[in-house]
Amino acid sequence: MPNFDDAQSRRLLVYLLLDRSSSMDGEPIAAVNEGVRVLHQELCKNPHALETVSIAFIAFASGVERSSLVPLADFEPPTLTASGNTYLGEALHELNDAIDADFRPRSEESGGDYKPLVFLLTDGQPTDSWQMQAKVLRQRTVGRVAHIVALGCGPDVDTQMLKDIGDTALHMSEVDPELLHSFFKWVSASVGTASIRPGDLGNGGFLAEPPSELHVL
Amino acid sequence: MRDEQHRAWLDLSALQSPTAVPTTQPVGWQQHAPLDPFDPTVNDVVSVINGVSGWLIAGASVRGKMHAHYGTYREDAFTVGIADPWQIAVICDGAGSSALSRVGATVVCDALIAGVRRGLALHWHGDEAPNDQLRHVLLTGMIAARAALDLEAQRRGVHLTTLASTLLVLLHDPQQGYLATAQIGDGVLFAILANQQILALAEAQSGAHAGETIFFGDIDPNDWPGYLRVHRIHEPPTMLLAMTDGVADDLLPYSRYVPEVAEEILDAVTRSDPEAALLQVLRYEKPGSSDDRTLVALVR
Repeated sequence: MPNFDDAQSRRLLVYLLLDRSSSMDGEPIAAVNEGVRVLHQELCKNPHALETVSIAFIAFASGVERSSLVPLADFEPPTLTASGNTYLGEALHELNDAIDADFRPRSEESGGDYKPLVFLLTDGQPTDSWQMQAKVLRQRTVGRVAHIVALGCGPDVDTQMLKDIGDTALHMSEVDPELLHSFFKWVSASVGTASIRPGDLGNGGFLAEPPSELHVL
Repeated sequence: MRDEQHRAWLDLSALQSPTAVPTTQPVGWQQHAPLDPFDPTVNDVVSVINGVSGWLIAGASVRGKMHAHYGTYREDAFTVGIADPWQIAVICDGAGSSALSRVGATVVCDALIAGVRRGLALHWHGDEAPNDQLRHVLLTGMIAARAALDLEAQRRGVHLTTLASTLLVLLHDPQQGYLATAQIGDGVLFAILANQQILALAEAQSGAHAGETIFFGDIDPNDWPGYLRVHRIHEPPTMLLAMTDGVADDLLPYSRYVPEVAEEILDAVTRSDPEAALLQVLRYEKPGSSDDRTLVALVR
Protein backbone atom coordinates (compact mmCIF):
# COMPACT_ATOMS: atom_id res chain seq x y z
CA MET A 1 0.00 0.00 0.00
CA PRO A 2 1.12 3.61 -0.41
CA ASN A 3 3.37 5.31 2.12
CA PHE A 4 0.98 7.29 4.31
CA ASP A 5 3.66 8.87 6.50
CA ASP A 6 2.75 12.44 5.69
CA ALA A 7 -0.95 11.89 5.02
CA GLN A 8 -3.49 13.65 7.20
CA SER A 9 -5.79 11.48 9.27
CA ARG A 10 -9.25 12.28 10.58
CA ARG A 11 -9.14 13.80 14.05
CA LEU A 12 -11.65 14.15 16.85
CA LEU A 13 -11.06 17.57 18.39
CA VAL A 14 -11.78 17.80 22.10
CA TYR A 15 -11.81 21.11 23.97
CA LEU A 16 -11.92 21.39 27.76
CA LEU A 17 -13.24 24.71 29.07
CA LEU A 18 -12.11 24.93 32.70
CA ASP A 19 -13.24 27.54 35.20
CA ARG A 20 -10.33 28.64 37.38
CA SER A 21 -11.99 31.63 39.00
CA SER A 22 -11.23 32.44 42.63
CA SER A 23 -14.15 30.39 43.93
CA MET A 24 -12.42 27.28 42.61
CA ASP A 25 -9.45 27.88 44.90
CA GLY A 26 -8.29 24.99 47.08
CA GLU A 27 -9.68 21.49 46.70
CA PRO A 28 -11.83 22.24 43.63
CA ILE A 29 -9.00 23.41 41.38
CA ALA A 30 -6.79 20.60 42.70
CA ALA A 31 -9.55 18.18 41.74
CA VAL A 32 -9.79 19.72 38.27
CA ASN A 33 -6.06 19.38 37.75
CA GLU A 34 -6.16 15.78 38.89
CA GLY A 35 -9.27 15.13 36.83
CA VAL A 36 -7.66 16.32 33.61
CA ARG A 37 -4.66 14.16 34.39
CA VAL A 38 -6.92 11.13 34.90
CA LEU A 39 -8.81 11.94 31.72
CA HIS A 40 -5.59 11.96 29.76
CA GLN A 41 -4.30 8.81 31.40
CA GLU A 42 -7.52 6.89 30.71
CA LEU A 43 -7.78 8.02 27.11
CA CYS A 44 -4.19 6.99 26.46
CA LYS A 45 -5.23 3.41 27.17
CA ASN A 46 -7.63 3.53 24.22
CA PRO A 47 -5.77 2.81 20.98
CA HIS A 48 -8.43 4.40 18.82
CA ALA A 49 -8.45 7.56 20.91
CA LEU A 50 -4.67 7.67 20.70
CA GLU A 51 -4.88 7.70 16.93
CA THR A 52 -7.75 10.13 16.50
CA VAL A 53 -8.15 12.46 19.49
CA SER A 54 -6.50 15.86 19.58
CA ILE A 55 -7.10 17.87 22.72
CA ALA A 56 -6.71 21.38 24.13
CA PHE A 57 -7.85 23.21 27.22
CA ILE A 58 -9.11 26.76 27.65
CA ALA A 59 -8.81 27.89 31.26
CA PHE A 60 -10.79 31.00 32.13
CA ALA A 61 -10.95 33.42 35.02
CA SER A 62 -10.30 37.16 34.57
CA GLY A 63 -8.47 36.22 31.41
CA VAL A 64 -8.18 33.23 29.18
CA GLU A 65 -5.36 30.75 28.76
CA ARG A 66 -5.54 28.39 25.80
CA SER A 67 -3.22 25.47 25.13
CA SER A 68 -2.32 24.38 21.62
CA LEU A 69 -4.41 21.59 20.16
CA VAL A 70 -2.16 18.54 20.16
CA PRO A 71 -2.51 14.80 19.62
CA LEU A 72 -3.51 12.98 22.76
CA ALA A 73 -0.08 11.44 23.27
CA ASP A 74 1.52 14.88 23.27
CA PHE A 75 -0.93 16.54 25.66
CA GLU A 76 0.44 17.78 28.96
CA PRO A 77 -2.25 18.16 31.64
CA PRO A 78 -2.10 21.65 33.13
CA THR A 79 -1.54 22.71 36.71
CA LEU A 80 -4.10 25.45 37.09
CA THR A 81 -4.37 27.94 39.91
CA ALA A 82 -7.56 29.72 40.87
CA SER A 83 -8.04 33.47 41.07
CA GLY A 84 -10.15 36.14 39.42
CA ASN A 85 -13.53 36.40 37.81
CA THR A 86 -15.51 34.09 35.55
CA TYR A 87 -15.10 35.36 32.01
CA LEU A 88 -17.05 32.65 30.25
CA GLY A 89 -17.77 34.91 27.27
CA GLU A 90 -14.07 35.33 26.66
CA ALA A 91 -13.61 31.60 26.95
CA LEU A 92 -16.28 30.97 24.36
CA HIS A 93 -14.72 33.59 22.11
CA GLU A 94 -11.39 31.83 22.48
CA LEU A 95 -13.09 28.52 21.70
CA ASN A 96 -14.53 29.89 18.48
CA ASP A 97 -11.11 31.23 17.51
CA ALA A 98 -9.54 27.89 18.35
CA ILE A 99 -11.95 25.95 16.16
CA ASP A 100 -11.42 28.43 13.33
CA ALA A 101 -7.70 27.82 13.56
CA ASP A 102 -7.68 24.10 14.30
CA PHE A 103 -10.52 22.50 12.41
CA ARG A 104 -9.76 20.93 9.03
CA PRO A 105 -12.85 20.56 6.84
CA ARG A 106 -13.16 17.82 4.28
CA SER A 107 -11.37 18.75 1.05
CA GLU A 108 -9.75 17.22 -1.97
CA GLU A 109 -6.63 16.87 0.11
CA SER A 110 -8.03 15.12 3.18
CA GLY A 111 -11.10 13.54 4.68
CA GLY A 112 -11.30 16.31 7.28
CA ASP A 113 -11.94 16.24 11.01
CA TYR A 114 -14.92 14.98 12.94
CA LYS A 115 -17.14 17.59 14.57
CA PRO A 116 -15.49 18.84 17.76
CA LEU A 117 -16.57 17.98 21.28
CA VAL A 118 -16.60 20.53 24.09
CA PHE A 119 -16.66 19.90 27.84
CA LEU A 120 -17.31 22.94 30.05
CA LEU A 121 -16.81 22.98 33.79
CA THR A 122 -17.80 25.97 35.91
CA ASP A 123 -18.81 26.64 39.48
CA GLY A 124 -20.40 30.04 39.28
CA GLN A 125 -22.09 32.65 37.25
CA PRO A 126 -20.34 34.31 34.32
CA THR A 127 -19.11 37.81 35.04
CA ASP A 128 -19.00 38.86 31.41
CA SER A 129 -21.38 38.75 28.50
CA TRP A 130 -21.39 35.25 27.02
CA GLN A 131 -24.62 34.99 25.06
CA MET A 132 -23.29 36.34 21.76
CA GLN A 133 -20.33 33.97 21.65
CA ALA A 134 -22.56 31.06 22.61
CA LYS A 135 -24.76 31.98 19.66
CA VAL A 136 -21.75 32.17 17.35
CA LEU A 137 -20.72 28.73 18.56
CA ARG A 138 -24.16 27.32 17.84
CA GLN A 139 -24.37 28.84 14.39
CA ARG A 140 -21.06 27.55 13.10
CA THR A 141 -21.25 25.73 9.79
CA VAL A 142 -17.61 24.78 9.41
CA GLY A 143 -16.25 23.13 12.51
CA ARG A 144 -19.76 22.81 13.81
CA VAL A 145 -19.57 21.55 17.38
CA ALA A 146 -21.08 18.10 17.68
CA HIS A 147 -21.90 18.17 21.34
CA ILE A 148 -21.31 20.39 24.36
CA VAL A 149 -21.37 18.90 27.83
CA ALA A 150 -21.71 21.60 30.48
CA LEU A 151 -21.10 20.71 34.12
CA GLY A 152 -21.99 23.16 36.85
CA CYS A 153 -20.51 22.64 40.30
CA GLY A 154 -21.90 23.97 43.52
CA PRO A 155 -24.93 25.98 44.62
CA ASP A 156 -24.01 29.25 42.87
CA VAL A 157 -23.90 28.04 39.30
CA ASP A 158 -26.31 29.47 36.75
CA THR A 159 -28.16 26.33 35.71
CA GLN A 160 -30.12 28.10 33.01
CA MET A 161 -26.85 29.16 31.43
CA LEU A 162 -25.70 25.53 31.49
CA LYS A 163 -28.86 24.46 29.70
CA ASP A 164 -28.55 27.26 27.20
CA ILE A 165 -24.98 26.38 26.33
CA GLY A 166 -24.86 22.62 26.79
CA ASP A 167 -26.48 19.89 24.73
CA THR A 168 -26.05 17.86 27.88
CA ALA A 169 -26.15 19.91 31.08
CA LEU A 170 -25.16 18.41 34.40
CA HIS A 171 -25.06 19.78 37.92
CA MET A 172 -23.38 18.70 41.12
CA SER A 173 -24.82 20.39 44.19
CA GLU A 174 -21.50 20.71 45.99
CA VAL A 175 -18.01 21.05 44.59
CA ASP A 176 -16.92 17.57 45.53
CA PRO A 177 -13.40 16.49 44.54
CA GLU A 178 -14.38 12.81 44.43
CA LEU A 179 -17.33 13.55 42.21
CA LEU A 180 -15.16 15.71 39.97
CA HIS A 181 -12.86 12.75 39.67
CA SER A 182 -15.82 10.59 38.62
CA PHE A 183 -16.91 13.25 36.15
CA PHE A 184 -13.54 13.28 34.43
CA LYS A 185 -13.50 9.50 34.24
CA TRP A 186 -16.90 9.70 32.64
CA VAL A 187 -15.60 12.32 30.19
CA SER A 188 -12.73 10.03 29.23
CA ALA A 189 -15.14 7.14 28.63
CA SER A 190 -17.39 9.40 26.58
CA VAL A 191 -14.55 10.71 24.44
CA GLY A 192 -13.33 7.15 23.99
CA THR A 193 -16.68 6.03 22.63
CA ALA A 194 -17.10 9.23 20.63
CA SER A 195 -13.95 8.33 18.75
CA ILE A 196 -15.49 5.04 17.63
CA ARG A 197 -19.05 6.21 17.03
CA PRO A 198 -18.73 9.32 14.88
CA GLY A 199 -22.27 8.87 13.64
CA ASP A 200 -23.52 9.48 17.17
CA LEU A 201 -21.56 12.66 17.81
CA GLY A 202 -24.42 14.98 17.04
CA ASN A 203 -27.15 13.15 18.95
CA GLY A 204 -25.10 12.45 22.06
CA GLY A 205 -25.51 8.73 21.55
CA PHE A 206 -21.86 8.25 22.47
CA LEU A 207 -22.48 9.39 26.06
CA ALA A 208 -22.65 6.73 28.73
CA GLU A 209 -24.82 7.39 31.77
CA PRO A 210 -23.15 10.02 33.93
CA PRO A 211 -22.33 9.34 37.59
CA SER A 212 -25.59 9.08 39.51
CA GLU A 213 -24.63 11.95 41.81
CA LEU A 214 -24.72 14.32 38.88
CA HIS A 215 -28.12 15.77 38.20
CA VAL A 216 -29.07 15.92 34.52
CA LEU A 217 -30.67 19.31 33.94
CA MET B 1 -30.53 18.01 28.01
CA ARG B 2 -32.26 20.93 26.44
CA ASP B 3 -35.79 19.72 25.97
CA GLU B 4 -35.71 16.19 27.19
CA GLN B 5 -36.39 14.80 30.62
CA HIS B 6 -35.26 11.30 29.81
CA ARG B 7 -32.73 9.93 27.39
CA ALA B 8 -31.09 6.66 26.55
CA TRP B 9 -27.44 6.54 27.57
CA LEU B 10 -24.93 4.38 25.77
CA ASP B 11 -24.41 0.99 27.36
CA LEU B 12 -20.64 0.82 27.56
CA SER B 13 -20.65 -2.86 28.43
CA ALA B 14 -21.87 -3.58 24.91
CA LEU B 15 -18.60 -2.24 23.57
CA GLN B 16 -16.19 -4.12 25.80
CA SER B 17 -15.09 -7.59 24.90
CA PRO B 18 -15.26 -9.79 27.99
CA THR B 19 -12.16 -11.57 26.77
CA ALA B 20 -10.05 -8.42 27.07
CA VAL B 21 -7.38 -8.82 29.73
CA PRO B 22 -7.29 -5.99 32.24
CA THR B 23 -3.90 -4.39 32.38
CA THR B 24 -2.29 -1.34 33.82
CA GLN B 25 -0.07 -1.06 30.77
CA PRO B 26 -1.10 1.00 27.74
CA VAL B 27 -3.31 -1.15 25.52
CA GLY B 28 -2.62 -1.62 21.84
CA TRP B 29 -5.05 -2.81 19.24
CA GLN B 30 -6.53 -6.22 19.96
CA GLN B 31 -8.52 -8.72 17.95
CA HIS B 32 -11.62 -10.32 19.36
CA ALA B 33 -14.20 -12.60 17.86
CA PRO B 34 -17.72 -11.25 18.10
CA LEU B 35 -19.83 -12.71 20.90
CA ASP B 36 -23.16 -11.80 19.34
CA PRO B 37 -24.42 -15.09 17.86
CA PHE B 38 -26.94 -13.43 15.59
CA ASP B 39 -26.47 -12.34 11.99
CA PRO B 40 -22.76 -13.13 11.81
CA THR B 41 -20.56 -11.85 9.00
CA VAL B 42 -17.14 -13.32 8.34
CA ASN B 43 -14.22 -11.06 9.05
CA ASP B 44 -12.87 -11.03 5.51
CA VAL B 45 -14.46 -11.91 2.21
CA VAL B 46 -12.94 -11.88 -1.27
CA SER B 47 -14.06 -12.78 -4.76
CA VAL B 48 -12.14 -12.78 -8.05
CA ILE B 49 -14.21 -13.81 -11.06
CA ASN B 50 -14.02 -13.52 -14.82
CA GLY B 51 -15.91 -10.54 -16.16
CA VAL B 52 -16.96 -10.06 -19.75
CA SER B 53 -14.79 -9.45 -22.81
CA GLY B 54 -11.62 -10.47 -21.01
CA TRP B 55 -12.18 -8.29 -17.95
CA LEU B 56 -11.66 -9.46 -14.40
CA ILE B 57 -13.85 -8.53 -11.43
CA ALA B 58 -12.10 -8.50 -8.07
CA GLY B 59 -13.76 -7.59 -4.80
CA ALA B 60 -12.63 -7.73 -1.20
CA SER B 61 -13.95 -6.63 2.18
CA VAL B 62 -12.07 -6.74 5.49
CA ARG B 63 -13.21 -6.08 9.04
CA GLY B 64 -11.75 -2.85 10.37
CA LYS B 65 -9.45 -2.81 13.39
CA MET B 66 -12.06 -0.98 15.44
CA HIS B 67 -14.59 -3.77 14.99
CA ALA B 68 -11.83 -6.27 15.68
CA HIS B 69 -10.83 -4.48 18.89
CA TYR B 70 -14.36 -4.30 20.24
CA GLY B 71 -15.41 -7.73 19.03
CA THR B 72 -18.10 -6.59 16.60
CA TYR B 73 -18.91 -7.64 13.07
CA ARG B 74 -17.81 -6.28 9.74
CA GLU B 75 -20.61 -4.04 8.47
CA ASP B 76 -19.61 -3.58 4.81
CA ALA B 77 -20.95 -5.89 2.11
CA PHE B 78 -20.43 -6.28 -1.62
CA THR B 79 -21.60 -8.44 -4.46
CA VAL B 80 -20.45 -8.76 -8.07
CA GLY B 81 -21.73 -10.54 -11.13
CA ILE B 82 -22.21 -10.50 -14.86
CA ALA B 83 -25.20 -10.41 -17.16
CA ASP B 84 -23.45 -10.58 -20.50
CA PRO B 85 -22.42 -8.08 -21.88
CA TRP B 86 -22.77 -6.27 -18.53
CA GLN B 87 -20.60 -6.36 -15.42
CA ILE B 88 -22.23 -5.43 -12.15
CA ALA B 89 -20.84 -4.40 -8.76
CA VAL B 90 -22.72 -3.35 -5.64
CA ILE B 91 -21.13 -2.17 -2.39
CA CYS B 92 -22.90 -1.16 0.83
CA ASP B 93 -21.37 0.33 3.96
CA GLY B 94 -23.46 -0.32 7.07
CA ALA B 95 -23.96 2.65 9.38
CA GLY B 96 -21.84 2.32 12.51
CA SER B 97 -24.59 3.67 14.73
CA SER B 98 -27.23 1.25 13.38
CA ALA B 99 -27.39 -2.01 15.28
CA LEU B 100 -28.20 -4.24 12.30
CA SER B 101 -26.54 -2.32 9.50
CA ARG B 102 -24.58 -5.43 8.47
CA VAL B 103 -27.92 -7.10 7.76
CA GLY B 104 -29.16 -4.10 5.80
CA ALA B 105 -25.95 -3.94 3.78
CA THR B 106 -26.21 -7.61 2.80
CA VAL B 107 -29.92 -7.44 2.01
CA VAL B 108 -29.46 -4.40 -0.22
CA CYS B 109 -26.49 -5.90 -2.08
CA ASP B 110 -28.24 -9.18 -2.83
CA ALA B 111 -31.58 -7.67 -3.79
CA LEU B 112 -30.12 -4.89 -5.85
CA ILE B 113 -28.00 -7.06 -8.10
CA ALA B 114 -30.94 -9.39 -8.67
CA GLY B 115 -33.11 -6.36 -9.45
CA VAL B 116 -30.53 -4.97 -11.89
CA ARG B 117 -30.47 -8.28 -13.75
CA ARG B 118 -34.26 -8.12 -14.05
CA GLY B 119 -34.03 -4.50 -15.09
CA LEU B 120 -31.60 -5.32 -17.87
CA ALA B 121 -33.96 -7.98 -19.19
CA LEU B 122 -36.93 -5.62 -18.99
CA HIS B 123 -35.55 -2.23 -19.99
CA TRP B 124 -32.31 -2.54 -21.91
CA HIS B 125 -32.74 -2.60 -25.65
CA GLY B 126 -29.60 -0.70 -26.52
CA ASP B 127 -31.09 1.40 -29.25
CA GLU B 128 -32.94 4.64 -28.63
CA ALA B 129 -32.46 6.62 -25.45
CA PRO B 130 -29.88 4.29 -23.86
CA ASN B 131 -29.35 6.68 -20.94
CA ASP B 132 -33.01 6.54 -19.97
CA GLN B 133 -33.01 2.77 -20.31
CA LEU B 134 -30.00 2.46 -18.02
CA ARG B 135 -31.62 4.71 -15.43
CA HIS B 136 -34.65 2.44 -15.51
CA VAL B 137 -32.38 -0.56 -15.05
CA LEU B 138 -30.78 0.98 -11.97
CA LEU B 139 -34.12 2.10 -10.58
CA THR B 140 -35.47 -1.43 -10.99
CA GLY B 141 -32.59 -2.62 -8.87
CA MET B 142 -33.15 0.05 -6.25
CA ILE B 143 -36.86 -0.67 -6.06
CA ALA B 144 -36.06 -4.31 -5.43
CA ALA B 145 -33.48 -3.40 -2.81
CA ARG B 146 -35.83 -1.07 -0.98
CA ALA B 147 -38.62 -3.66 -1.01
CA ALA B 148 -36.25 -6.24 0.44
CA LEU B 149 -35.10 -3.79 3.10
CA ASP B 150 -38.67 -2.90 4.06
CA LEU B 151 -39.54 -6.56 4.31
CA GLU B 152 -36.54 -7.30 6.48
CA ALA B 153 -37.35 -4.41 8.79
CA GLN B 154 -40.93 -5.60 9.07
CA ARG B 155 -39.86 -9.18 9.68
CA ARG B 156 -37.58 -8.13 12.52
CA GLY B 157 -39.93 -5.53 13.91
CA VAL B 158 -37.36 -2.75 13.62
CA HIS B 159 -37.24 0.67 12.05
CA LEU B 160 -35.58 1.02 8.68
CA THR B 161 -32.80 3.11 10.24
CA THR B 162 -31.65 0.06 12.21
CA LEU B 163 -30.63 -1.46 8.87
CA ALA B 164 -29.03 1.70 7.42
CA SER B 165 -26.30 1.49 4.82
CA THR B 166 -24.86 3.49 1.98
CA LEU B 167 -25.09 2.33 -1.62
CA LEU B 168 -22.65 2.18 -4.54
CA VAL B 169 -23.66 0.54 -7.83
CA LEU B 170 -21.58 0.13 -10.97
CA LEU B 171 -22.99 -1.24 -14.20
CA HIS B 172 -20.55 -1.56 -17.11
CA ASP B 173 -20.68 -2.71 -20.72
CA PRO B 174 -17.04 -2.87 -21.87
CA GLN B 175 -17.94 -3.35 -25.52
CA GLN B 176 -20.21 -0.33 -25.88
CA GLY B 177 -18.47 1.75 -23.21
CA TYR B 178 -21.62 2.38 -21.14
CA LEU B 179 -21.17 3.05 -17.45
CA ALA B 180 -24.17 3.55 -15.21
CA THR B 181 -23.77 4.33 -11.53
CA ALA B 182 -25.84 4.93 -8.45
CA GLN B 183 -24.45 6.40 -5.26
CA ILE B 184 -26.22 7.24 -2.04
CA GLY B 185 -23.81 8.12 0.74
CA ASP B 186 -20.05 8.26 0.90
CA GLY B 187 -17.39 6.19 -0.82
CA VAL B 188 -16.18 6.60 -4.37
CA LEU B 189 -16.70 5.29 -7.91
CA PHE B 190 -13.82 5.94 -10.30
CA ALA B 191 -12.70 5.12 -13.81
CA ILE B 192 -8.95 5.10 -14.32
CA LEU B 193 -8.02 5.86 -17.89
CA ALA B 194 -4.94 4.76 -19.80
CA ASN B 195 -3.19 8.08 -19.09
CA GLN B 196 -3.85 7.54 -15.34
CA GLN B 197 -6.49 10.25 -15.36
CA ILE B 198 -9.05 9.57 -12.64
CA LEU B 199 -12.64 10.14 -13.65
CA ALA B 200 -15.30 10.37 -10.95
CA LEU B 201 -18.34 8.35 -11.99
CA ALA B 202 -20.71 9.53 -9.28
CA GLU B 203 -21.04 12.16 -6.58
CA ALA B 204 -20.40 11.25 -2.97
CA GLN B 205 -22.64 12.71 -0.30
CA SER B 206 -20.14 13.60 2.39
CA GLY B 207 -20.48 16.65 4.58
CA ALA B 208 -17.81 19.15 5.55
CA HIS B 209 -17.10 17.04 8.62
CA ALA B 210 -15.72 13.50 8.72
CA GLY B 211 -18.33 10.86 9.46
CA GLU B 212 -21.19 12.77 7.85
CA THR B 213 -23.18 10.97 5.20
CA ILE B 214 -26.64 9.83 4.17
CA PHE B 215 -28.08 6.35 3.78
CA PHE B 216 -30.09 4.50 1.17
CA GLY B 217 -33.17 4.14 3.37
CA ASP B 218 -33.16 7.89 4.15
CA ILE B 219 -33.90 8.89 0.58
CA ASP B 220 -37.38 9.21 -0.84
CA PRO B 221 -37.61 6.91 -3.89
CA ASN B 222 -38.94 9.85 -5.92
CA ASP B 223 -35.54 11.44 -5.46
CA TRP B 224 -33.48 8.41 -6.53
CA PRO B 225 -33.02 9.62 -10.14
CA GLY B 226 -30.89 12.45 -8.77
CA TYR B 227 -28.37 9.89 -7.49
CA LEU B 228 -27.87 8.16 -10.84
CA ARG B 229 -25.29 8.91 -13.51
CA VAL B 230 -24.83 7.48 -16.99
CA HIS B 231 -21.57 7.81 -18.92
CA ARG B 232 -20.32 6.56 -22.21
CA ILE B 233 -16.55 6.33 -22.28
CA HIS B 234 -15.17 5.66 -25.72
CA GLU B 235 -11.61 5.24 -24.56
CA PRO B 236 -11.71 2.01 -22.53
CA PRO B 237 -10.65 2.58 -18.92
CA THR B 238 -7.91 0.34 -17.53
CA MET B 239 -9.79 -0.09 -14.29
CA LEU B 240 -13.09 0.77 -12.64
CA LEU B 241 -13.00 1.16 -8.86
CA ALA B 242 -15.70 1.24 -6.23
CA MET B 243 -14.68 1.75 -2.59
CA THR B 244 -16.28 2.43 0.74
CA ASP B 245 -15.06 5.46 2.65
CA GLY B 246 -13.03 3.17 4.90
CA VAL B 247 -10.59 2.96 2.00
CA ALA B 248 -11.46 6.04 -0.03
CA ASP B 249 -10.84 8.56 2.75
CA ASP B 250 -7.36 7.09 3.26
CA LEU B 251 -6.51 7.76 -0.37
CA LEU B 252 -6.94 11.53 -0.31
CA PRO B 253 -5.62 13.29 -2.29
CA TYR B 254 -6.82 10.84 -4.91
CA SER B 255 -4.47 12.09 -7.59
CA ARG B 256 -1.58 10.92 -5.45
CA TYR B 257 -2.75 7.67 -3.89
CA VAL B 258 -5.34 6.13 -6.22
CA PRO B 259 -2.86 5.38 -9.04
CA GLU B 260 -0.60 3.66 -6.52
CA VAL B 261 -3.44 1.53 -5.22
CA ALA B 262 -4.54 0.69 -8.75
CA GLU B 263 -1.04 -0.60 -9.43
CA GLU B 264 -1.20 -2.77 -6.33
CA ILE B 265 -4.56 -4.16 -7.39
CA LEU B 266 -3.26 -4.93 -10.86
CA ASP B 267 -0.33 -6.73 -9.32
CA ALA B 268 -2.56 -8.64 -6.91
CA VAL B 269 -4.94 -10.02 -9.53
CA THR B 270 -2.05 -11.42 -11.55
CA ARG B 271 -0.63 -13.39 -8.63
CA SER B 272 -1.01 -17.13 -8.33
CA ASP B 273 -3.30 -16.54 -5.34
CA PRO B 274 -5.12 -13.35 -6.32
CA GLU B 275 -7.66 -13.63 -3.48
CA ALA B 276 -4.98 -13.60 -0.78
CA ALA B 277 -3.07 -10.86 -2.56
CA LEU B 278 -6.16 -8.69 -2.84
CA LEU B 279 -6.93 -9.05 0.86
CA GLN B 280 -3.38 -8.02 1.57
CA VAL B 281 -3.89 -4.83 -0.43
CA LEU B 282 -6.58 -3.88 2.07
CA ARG B 283 -4.63 -4.79 5.18
CA TYR B 284 -2.46 -1.67 5.22
CA GLU B 285 -1.75 0.20 8.42
CA LYS B 286 -2.60 3.88 8.70
CA PRO B 287 -3.08 5.66 12.05
CA GLY B 288 -6.64 6.86 12.44
CA SER B 289 -7.93 4.41 9.83
CA SER B 290 -9.97 1.79 11.62
CA ASP B 291 -13.14 1.36 9.60
CA ASP B 292 -14.12 -1.67 7.53
CA ARG B 293 -12.55 -1.57 4.09
CA THR B 294 -14.23 -2.71 0.90
CA LEU B 295 -13.32 -2.31 -2.72
CA VAL B 296 -14.33 -3.77 -6.05
CA ALA B 297 -12.11 -3.40 -9.10
CA LEU B 298 -13.11 -4.17 -12.66
CA VAL B 299 -9.83 -4.74 -14.42
CA ARG B 300 -9.20 -4.79 -18.16
